[in-house]
Amino acid sequence: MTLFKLFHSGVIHFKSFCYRLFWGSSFGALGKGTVIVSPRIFNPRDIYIGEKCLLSHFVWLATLSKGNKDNAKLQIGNRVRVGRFSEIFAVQSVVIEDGVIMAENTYISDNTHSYGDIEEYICDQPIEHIGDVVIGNGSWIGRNACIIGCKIGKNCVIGAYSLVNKDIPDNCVVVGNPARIIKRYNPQTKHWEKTDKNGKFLNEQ
Amino acid sequence: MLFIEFFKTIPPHEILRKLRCRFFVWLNSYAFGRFGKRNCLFNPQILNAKNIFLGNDLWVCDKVWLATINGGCLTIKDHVIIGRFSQIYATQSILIEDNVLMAENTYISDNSHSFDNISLPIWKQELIKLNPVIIGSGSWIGRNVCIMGCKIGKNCVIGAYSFVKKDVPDNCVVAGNPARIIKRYNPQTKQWEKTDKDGNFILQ
Repeated sequence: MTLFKLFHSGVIHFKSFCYRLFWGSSFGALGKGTVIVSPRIFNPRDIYIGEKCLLSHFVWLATLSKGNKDNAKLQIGNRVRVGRFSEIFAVQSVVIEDGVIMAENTYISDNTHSYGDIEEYICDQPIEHIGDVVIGNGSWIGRNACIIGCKIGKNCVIGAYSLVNKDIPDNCVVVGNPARIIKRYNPQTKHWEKTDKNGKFLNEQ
Repeated sequence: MLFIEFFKTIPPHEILRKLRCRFFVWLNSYAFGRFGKRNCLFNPQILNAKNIFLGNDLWVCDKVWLATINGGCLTIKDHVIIGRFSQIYATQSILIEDNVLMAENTYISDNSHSFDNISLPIWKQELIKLNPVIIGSGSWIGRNVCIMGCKIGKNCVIGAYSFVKKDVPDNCVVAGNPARIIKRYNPQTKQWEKTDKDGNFILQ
């Protein structure tokens, strides 16, 4: 390891150490060995972060609980990596399981703005919950991807610049806006094979 | 105990951030063409502030870039929210009306680079002027949207990741690259209904 690399990673760890020292106790849970560098946090008592995570610069984690309802919950498992400028926004529940890697500028939320009333400005209308978000073990989420109110299975690949708003089964590759399945793991041949948009293998037809 | 509970809902670093914002306003607000009351600007990057006219109660998040060049004019009215990493770049005139809600990483401009001369690098060629931009009151602009030289009506919804280059009438939902109308408010049935790409309602 060169001196530069040592110094540079040292800065990140020092920043993270200072952050954890001062505000770490206000989190619902913050596991051992998690590195968290200059984030933006709303309501940290509803945020549960596991062990050995890496949250890069300017990540925004937010939860919003409304009135008498149960608290919103944002859960991040062990060994999750979240890229710079990413946002995770929970109104009811967002769960990211173990070993997920997320690239830069990704957006995960379980809500949107409602725009039913045209008399009122959209920024004054209430936020609408769509569906709980679960991201399965070991998935990889590409750059600028956007996941809104859907469940994603284990070991999936979400391509860069894709917008996912429907549930996705295990072991798929999805791309596009709106996202569709382009590849799937075939357990018989033990290879990743191309599929049509309904998820059927092209070779079988 | 109450003291600790208070800091659990609003962590101290958010309060520090707000203080830093007050400090920015206190130092720099004189340089703007107009600077209203109760504005929050967190760590913005600003070019030619004397041609930027800001209203009241703005909320401009981290690292927003507001720029005017060649005597362009950028006007932002009251109660506007601008998300992180956005850019607004005016060479003629950009007007953002009341109560507009902008998400992260949006780009609004009324200019573009020309590339007619193939013997020159593009950054040395002149800027093209497109039409002036107006964004109507109460609109919602989604994430990663790019709006170049067009007018947007009132209470519109611009879907995430879309690229808007043509004028959009009032009360529409547009999405895609290039953006087309996918939903419109029907004043007869008083509901939002799906349309074809010319804006006619699809009868179901």
